[in-house]
Amino acid sequence: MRFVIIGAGEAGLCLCKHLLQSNHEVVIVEKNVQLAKFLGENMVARIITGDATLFSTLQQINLPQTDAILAMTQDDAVNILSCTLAKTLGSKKTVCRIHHDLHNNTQTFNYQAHFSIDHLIDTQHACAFEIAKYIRDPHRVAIEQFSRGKIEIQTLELKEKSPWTGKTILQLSIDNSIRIGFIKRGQQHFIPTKDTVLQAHDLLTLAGDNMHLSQLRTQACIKQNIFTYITLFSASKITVSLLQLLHNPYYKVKVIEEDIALCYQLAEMYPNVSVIHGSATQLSLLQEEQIYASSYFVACSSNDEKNIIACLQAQKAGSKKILLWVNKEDYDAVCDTLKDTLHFNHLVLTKSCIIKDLESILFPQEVSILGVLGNDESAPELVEIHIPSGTAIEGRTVDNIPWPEHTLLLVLKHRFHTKVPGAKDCLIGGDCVVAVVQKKHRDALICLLTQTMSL
Amino acid sequence: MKVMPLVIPLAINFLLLSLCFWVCAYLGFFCYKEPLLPWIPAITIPLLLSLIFYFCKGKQKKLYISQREILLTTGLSWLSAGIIGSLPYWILLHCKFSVGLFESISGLTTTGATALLNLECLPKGLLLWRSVSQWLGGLGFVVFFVTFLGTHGNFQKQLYLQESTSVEESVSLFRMRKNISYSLLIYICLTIMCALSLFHCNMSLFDAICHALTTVSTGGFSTYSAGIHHFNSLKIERILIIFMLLGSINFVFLIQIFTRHGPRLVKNSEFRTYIAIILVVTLVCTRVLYPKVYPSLPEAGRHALFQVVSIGTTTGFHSVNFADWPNIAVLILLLLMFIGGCTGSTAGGFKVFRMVALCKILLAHLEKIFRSNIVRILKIDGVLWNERKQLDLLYFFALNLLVIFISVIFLQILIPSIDFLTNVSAIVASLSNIGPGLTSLIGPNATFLSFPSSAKILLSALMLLGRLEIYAILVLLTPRFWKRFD
Repeated sequence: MRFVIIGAGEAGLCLCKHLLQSNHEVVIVEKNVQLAKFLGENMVARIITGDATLFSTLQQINLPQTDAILAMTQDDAVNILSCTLAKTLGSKKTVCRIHHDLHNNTQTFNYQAHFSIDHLIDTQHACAFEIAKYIRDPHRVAIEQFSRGKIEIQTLELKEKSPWTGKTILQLSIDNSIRIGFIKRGQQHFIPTKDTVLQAHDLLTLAGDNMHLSQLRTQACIKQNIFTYITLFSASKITVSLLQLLHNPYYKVKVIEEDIALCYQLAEMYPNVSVIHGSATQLSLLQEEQIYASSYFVACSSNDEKNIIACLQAQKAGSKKILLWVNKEDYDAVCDTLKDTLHFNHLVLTKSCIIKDLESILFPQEVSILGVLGNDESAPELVEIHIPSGTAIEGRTVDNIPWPEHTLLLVLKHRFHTKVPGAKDCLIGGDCVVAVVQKKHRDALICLLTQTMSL
Repeated sequence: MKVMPLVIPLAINFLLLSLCFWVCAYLGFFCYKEPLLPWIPAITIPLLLSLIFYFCKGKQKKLYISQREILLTTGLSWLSAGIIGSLPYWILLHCKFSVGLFESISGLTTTGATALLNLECLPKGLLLWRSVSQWLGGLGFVVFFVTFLGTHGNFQKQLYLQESTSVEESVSLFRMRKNISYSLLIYICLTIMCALSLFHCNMSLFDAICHALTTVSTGGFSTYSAGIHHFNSLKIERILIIFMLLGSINFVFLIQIFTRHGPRLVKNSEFRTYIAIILVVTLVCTRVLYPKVYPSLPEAGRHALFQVVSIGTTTGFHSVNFADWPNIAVLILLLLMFIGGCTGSTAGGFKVFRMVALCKILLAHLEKIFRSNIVRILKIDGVLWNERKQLDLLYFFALNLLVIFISVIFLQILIPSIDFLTNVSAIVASLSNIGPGLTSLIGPNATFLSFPSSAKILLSALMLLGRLEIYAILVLLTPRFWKRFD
C-alpha cells in the first residue's frame, strides 16, 4: 500500500519506520530542508521537501494512487489544512493528527465533517487511553473511546435494599437512552432479557449518557463508596487526557507538577483534582502526600528519566501499582528489562500507542472483539462490527432485524454521530455498532450484519 | 482635581430632594391639613442649590474622569444629601443639628436608627419623608439618577461599581443600564405589592405606604415608636418577613426568577447560605427563647423568625423588645448584624457572599498549614477568585474590624459610661445599617436621643461608611487623595 506522511517529527518517523518494516511504500513531506536532506540520505522512503499546505507541494504526489495521507506535524492547523487539500486532490483516506485542545473541541464542533477529514487522532490521548485501560475496566474504556466519550459505561452493584432488587428489567422502566449491557452474578456474566429478575449483589454494566446514568443511580438508590486513589506525576497533555478518561467521581486523582503556572492551570480546569506543586522524584514529598494510599502511581511527564526515578520513589513510598510512560523511541529496547528488573506493573510506550491507534484506522477490520467476559460458550463478548454497504439489513430499523438470541446493541455510530440505538433507529452501510453477544451466537450476529445480499 | 464632573450629580440630587420634600409636604397638607409653610425653606434651599450648580456647569467638555473624581462625587453626594435631607427635621421639629443629621443619614443609608421620640405625634409629611428617604437610599439614588440623567458613560459605570455591592468586575455600560432599569422596576413593583398586602391586612393606607417604603429598602423606620409591635398582627409580620427577604436578595437574581432562570437562584451559593443562616439562627433562637422567655413554642418561633429576618436583612424592625432576650440570642443577633444580607441588594453588612468567600479562603489556608504544596483554586459559583481578589476581601474584612475597633474606642471616649455590649452593638448596627442596638439603652424600645451630639455624628459617619462599603468615604480622609502631583 502507498502512504504519505506529512511531517517528519517523532510521531511521523515512528510511523514511517513501522510502515516501511511492513513493506509499504511511504512518502514523507517535510518542510525543513536540512531534515529532509538528512532523511533522504538515511531512509528508504521518498522525501518531498515543501509545505504540505500548498497545492504545489501536494501536486508532486500522486494522491489518487495514495491509500492514505497522514498529517502528523505538531501544528493542528497545518494538519487540518493539508488533509482537506489532500482530500480535494483525491486522496482515498485522510488521517489528521490533532492535539489536546482541539481534541476537546471535537466534542462540541464536528471538525471531521466540516473539513472532510476521515479520521482524527490525538497521540497523547491514545497513550492516555492505554493507561486508562489498565486502571479502569478495559471494556468500558474501549466503548467510551469508540463513542468518543459521548457514551459512558458504569457499573452498579445492587444492594439488598435497592428498589430494583427482585424486579424484572421490564419493570424498571429505564430511559430509552440507557442499556443494561450485561450482568455479573457471582462469577458469571450474562446478557439480561426483559424478564431477567435482578438480585441483590448483581453487578450491572450500563451504557448511556452521563446525565441519565446519574439519574438512574439515584433511582436505584445506589451509592458507591469504593474509591480508587490515583497519583499522576506531571501535568502533561497525557495527564489532561487521562483526567478526562478518569472523570468518574469514584476516582480520586492527585497530580504532582513542578511548574506552578501549570499547577494553577490544572487546578482551575479540574477543581476536584488535588494539584500538588513539587517534584515526584522527591521521596519526602511523596511520603507527605501519603502515596502509600495510592492504588496507582502513573509517571507520565515528558521526561522519561524523571518518570523512571519518580516510579522508583513511588515504589519506595509504598504505592500499590506503578505505571510508567516511556516517550522516547530509543528506550524501546530496554523497556522490558526496566519493567522486569524494577517490578513496574505496566509500561506504556508512545510508539506502540500511536501504531496501535493508526493500524486500526489504516487497516480496519470488519469485526473486532473488544472484550470477552468469561471462558464458557455462554459468556458474553463485546464486539465491534462495521456494517458494509449492500447487506440484507441495510435500511431496516433495529426492531425489524431478526437478531440472534442473547444479543444486545450497545452503541451505534452513524458517520460522526454516536448514540445508544433505539428500536426505530435505522442501520445503513458504513455504520458501526458495538454489541454484547454470547460467544456461541457471535458468528450469527457477524453474518447478519456483514453478509451482503446475493444478486 | 477637576470639580466640574461633581456639579451635575449634585444638581440632580438636590433637585430630587427638593421634589421629594414638595411631595411629602403636599401630601401632608392635602390629606392631613398640615401647614405647608414650614416646608418652604426645605423645598427652596435644595432647589436653589440645584439651579446654581446647573448654571455653574457651563459647557462641559468630554474630560477624562479619574477614579478620584468618582470617589469624591460618591462621597460628597451622600454627605450633601444627608445634610439637605435633615432640613425638614431642623425646620419642622426645631431639633439639634446632630439629631436632624442623624435621622437624615439613618434614613438615606437605610439604617433605621432613630433619635426621635413619640413618632405618632410627628407631622405625617415628615413621617412620610423619613420613609421616602429610606426608599431613595435603598435605591442608591445617586447612581440611579446620574445614570438616567447624566451624560458620561464611564462616569456612570464607575459610580455604579462604587455604590453597588455587586462583586461583578466586568460589567458593560449597556448591561449595567439594563440591570439598573430592571432593578428599579423590581424595586417599585415590590414596594407596591408590599403596600397593597399591608393595606389588605387592615393597616391604614398611610402606614402601609410608609412601611412598604421602609421594608423593601430594608430600612426599618416605622411610623410608631413601638414599631411593628404596635400592630400585633401575625399577618403583617408574615408579609413583612417575605418582603424583607425579597429586599435583601440580590436584585439581579430576582430578575432571573421573574424571567426564566429561577433554578439558578437555588444553585447560587450566596442565596443558599443566606437562607440556611436565617433558618439555622431562627431554630437556635427559638430553642433559646422557649420556654425561658416565651412559654409557647409557636410564639417563640414567631418572634425568633421575625427578629432574625429583620436583623439578618439589616431592616431593624421589631415586634418585641429583643434587648431583653438571653445573652446568647443577643450575641447571635450581633453576628447576624455583622454578616448582613446578599450582595446587589438593599441590605447592608459585610454581605453573605463575602462571608462565604472568606470561609473558603480560610479553609484553603488551613489546608496549606499541613499541606504546603497543595495548589487550590478558589471558585465561587463558577467565578474564579484569584489571589488579588482574595487579598482584597481579606483587606476589606480587616478594614471592617479595624473601623469597628477604633469606633468602639471613640464611642467609649465620647460616652464613658456606656457598657461594652451597648457600645459594640451601636457601632455594628450603624456600620451594617441595621438601626436599633441590642441593649435596653439603644434597643427597640429606646432611641439614640440620649447619646451626645458627637456620638450621633460618629454613628452617622459609620452609617455612611457602611452604606458606601467603607472605601468611598475613607479614601477622602487620606492626604494623598487631595494632592495634585505626588
